[in-house]
Order: sequence, then structure tokens, then C-alpha cells
Amino acid sequence: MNTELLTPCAAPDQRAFENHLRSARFRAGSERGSWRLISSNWPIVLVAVASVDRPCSPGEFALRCNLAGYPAVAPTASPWDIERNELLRVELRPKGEQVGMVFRADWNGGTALYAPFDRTALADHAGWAAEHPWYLWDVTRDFTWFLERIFDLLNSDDYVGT
Amino acid sequence: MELFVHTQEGIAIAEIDDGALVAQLAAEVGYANATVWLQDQDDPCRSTDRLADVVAHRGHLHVAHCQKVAVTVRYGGEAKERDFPPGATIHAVFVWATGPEGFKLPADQRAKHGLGVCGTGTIADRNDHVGSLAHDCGLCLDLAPRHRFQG
Repeated sequence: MNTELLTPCAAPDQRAFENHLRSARFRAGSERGSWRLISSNWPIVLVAVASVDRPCSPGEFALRCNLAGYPAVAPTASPWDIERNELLRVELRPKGEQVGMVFRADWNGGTALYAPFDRTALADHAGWAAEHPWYLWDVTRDFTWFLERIFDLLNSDDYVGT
Repeated sequence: MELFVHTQEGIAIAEIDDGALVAQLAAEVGYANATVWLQDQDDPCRSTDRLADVVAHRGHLHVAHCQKVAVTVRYGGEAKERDFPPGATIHAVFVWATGPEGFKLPADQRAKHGLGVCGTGTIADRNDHVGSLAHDCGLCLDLAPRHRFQG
């Protein structure tokens, strides 16, 4: 996808997102191979985040993100099976004490990330805003910050593969 | 050539001629007479070197007036200090802070900790440069347990 192109007459949230795609921080992550943008059909954005090598596990995990209201509103993301174009099945999700919790499939039908930086999960957990301020979305964050949270999990020693 | 240039203001993309010198890049990004480092290298680049000879297209450089950053990492009521070049990544600090010269965290504990800037609520990401997070050539980081989201 050519991140230099901006959609003409895009709504403010889409315009803000496309501007963030042009930021040095996002492009540096793409260049390093930390993530790659697969497609954008606003407000749905499909992105893949690289994971550290683990036996019999993929090198990346895809997320189907809904970015409506960006950046005033936090993203929400579903772990996604690109080939089947459906929610990622539980046996294919990344595992680990903390990683597995974020990618859990037994909450909300597995349609969102179980973390304060996902708006669906945050809305369901009144105490998280006070408990996890480092991980809260605010208007100063951007999509790169969101991807960095996922990349950090998938490249930690906690991640044990699928 | 296109370069990722890190400064105290963060990261930016600079487009500069292949034949440009290191000193020209520093001036180009508003840091005339500053020093330039390759990412995670101890020794700075020579100001008279050609950029194309020291860094690849889309490589990472750090430009700073500080010659070193005094990094303090706090953990469990203790603090450890070490100087890092401004172009050192937070990942390099994490490896030191959790390793034998740091707080000697076992592997299972390393997985459960991360670094944040003291008193700010800001997560220090592994690819951030210490020079981009520093103030007055110093940086305080907390080695803190990663949050486990539950409830």
C-alpha cells in the first residue's frame, strides 16, 4: 500500500490516520519489519504485526482494526485469519501468560484484544483506567503506539508460540 | 538517501544527498556542531565522514549535543547507573538492567518486566533512543512489572 497517498475528501478520522501512516515512527516500524499494513477500507484497517520466532508458529499475526473516531477514540482489534478472512481460531492464537490473556478467545467472542488500549475491552472494565494508566489510549497516542503494544507482547519472552 | 534521524525531539525522516557529510546532516536537522551516532554504537561518527560510507539508506542515526546519557534504572527500591551513548536503544538498556551487571533478573522474570520513564506514565519502547527520552543528558527509568490485564 502506498502510504504517500491520501484519500481525497476523507473524513477527519481517516485523514488523521492517513497522516499518522506517513510519520517517521510508523515508517521506521514498517522498515524494520515490525508491522505491515495489508489493507484499508475505512474504518477497517487490516495490519500484521511480526512475532519473534517460535517453533511451529507464524512470523506474524494479523489484526482487523476498527478505527472509527480515530484518534479521539481508541482502536479495537480482532485477531484475524487473513487466508480465511475470519476471526482467528483459538488454536492459532498466540499463547503465553500475558500474551494469551490479551489474545484470549473466551471473552467477548474473541473479537477484541483483552487490554486497556482496546476500546471494547476498556468499556467492559471500569477499573482498568485507574489500574493501567500506562496502557490507556488518549488523543496524544497514535496507531503506531497501539502497534508497539502488540509488537512488544509478540516479541517478549512471555510469548511461547501458538 | 533517506535516513531515520533521532534527536531529543523524537524521530524524523531526512532526505539528504549520498555525498553529504555527517556534519551536514547535523546542521540539516537543526543541530549544528552536534555529534552523530549510529544506532547502538558506542563511538560517534566523524563529522567529516560521508554519510553513505557510514550508514545505509533508511538506516538510523542519532544527533545530539550530549556526548553521553547518564541512565538510572530503578527497581525494587534500588537504583543502578550507567552511561550510554545517546543513540543506544531502550532494548540495550533493558538487556543491561536485567542482566548480570544490572538487577540479575532470571529469564522468566525478564519476560514480565519492562521500562518506563520515571514519573511520567510513558512506556519506553524498545526501539526508542535514550537520547530522545533524556533531559539534561540524563534519563531515569523504572524497571516495572508488565501489567497483567484481568478482572
